[in-house]
Amino acid sequence: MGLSALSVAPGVVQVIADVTSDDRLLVTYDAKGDVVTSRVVQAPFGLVAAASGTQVLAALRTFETSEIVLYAWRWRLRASAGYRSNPERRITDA
Amino acid sequence: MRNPTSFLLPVLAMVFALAVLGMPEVVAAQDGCTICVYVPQEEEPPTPECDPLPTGEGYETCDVKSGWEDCKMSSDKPDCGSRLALDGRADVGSGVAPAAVAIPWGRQFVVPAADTPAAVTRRACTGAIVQRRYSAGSIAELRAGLRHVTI
Repeated sequence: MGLSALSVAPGVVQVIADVTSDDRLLVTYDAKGDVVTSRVVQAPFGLVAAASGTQVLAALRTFETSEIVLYAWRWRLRASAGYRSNPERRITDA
Repeated sequence: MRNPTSFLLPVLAMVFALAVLGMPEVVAAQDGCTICVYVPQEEEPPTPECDPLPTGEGYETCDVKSGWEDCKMSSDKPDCGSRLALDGRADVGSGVAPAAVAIPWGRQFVVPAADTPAAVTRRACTGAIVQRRYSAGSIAELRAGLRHVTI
C-alpha cells in the first residue's frame, strides 16, 4: 500500500507499506517522478504528512501504541567520493 | 511562531484518511450499532483447513475463535481494542466488531467477518489475524533504528 507522496523539495518521498509485515519501502523521486533512491526499513512506520514551508515530516509509528513523530529532513551529499553531485535525503527524528 | 494548529490539522486529516483507506466494506447495521457482525453463539467455528498461520519469533497467532474472543475484550487487549478504537467505527465493548480492520501503516487485524463459519474460515486462512508483538527491548531498538533514516 502506497502512502502519500510528500514533498522533500525538489523531490518527493513516499512510503510503500507491506501491511502484512513490518517492511516499509521508502522511495524518493526526483521532480520528474523518476525513482532516485529507495530503502527498506523493517519497522511499522509511515510518513504521513509534510509541513509546508518547513523541512519537517510527520511519521506515524506503531509499536505497542501509535505515536506521531516529527522528522527533520535535509539533503546530504553522498559520502562516496567522485559522485558528490548525487545527494541523499536524510530524515532525522526531531 | 508558526501556529501549531495549521500543522496538526493536515496531519490529523491524513491520519483519518489513511484509516478510511484501510477500511474494508461495512457489513451490516443492526440494533443501532454502526457496524454489527454477529458470531454464531452456539456453533464453534471450524478449524481452518489450510496452511497454518505464519509463526515466528515475535509473532503471535490466534485461531478464529481466540481472535474473536480477544476482540470482544477491548479495553485490556491493546493489540485488538486499540486498533478497533483507532478505526473509530466499532463499539467492541458491546460485543460487536467491524468486519475487518486494516491499518495501513502497521499491523492488520481481521476479526470473523461474516455470519457463516465458511467465511470465517476463509478469512482466517488469509493469515490476516497474525499480529506482531514487540518486547520492550525490541521497541527501544526500533526507535533507535528510526532515529536517523537515510534513504
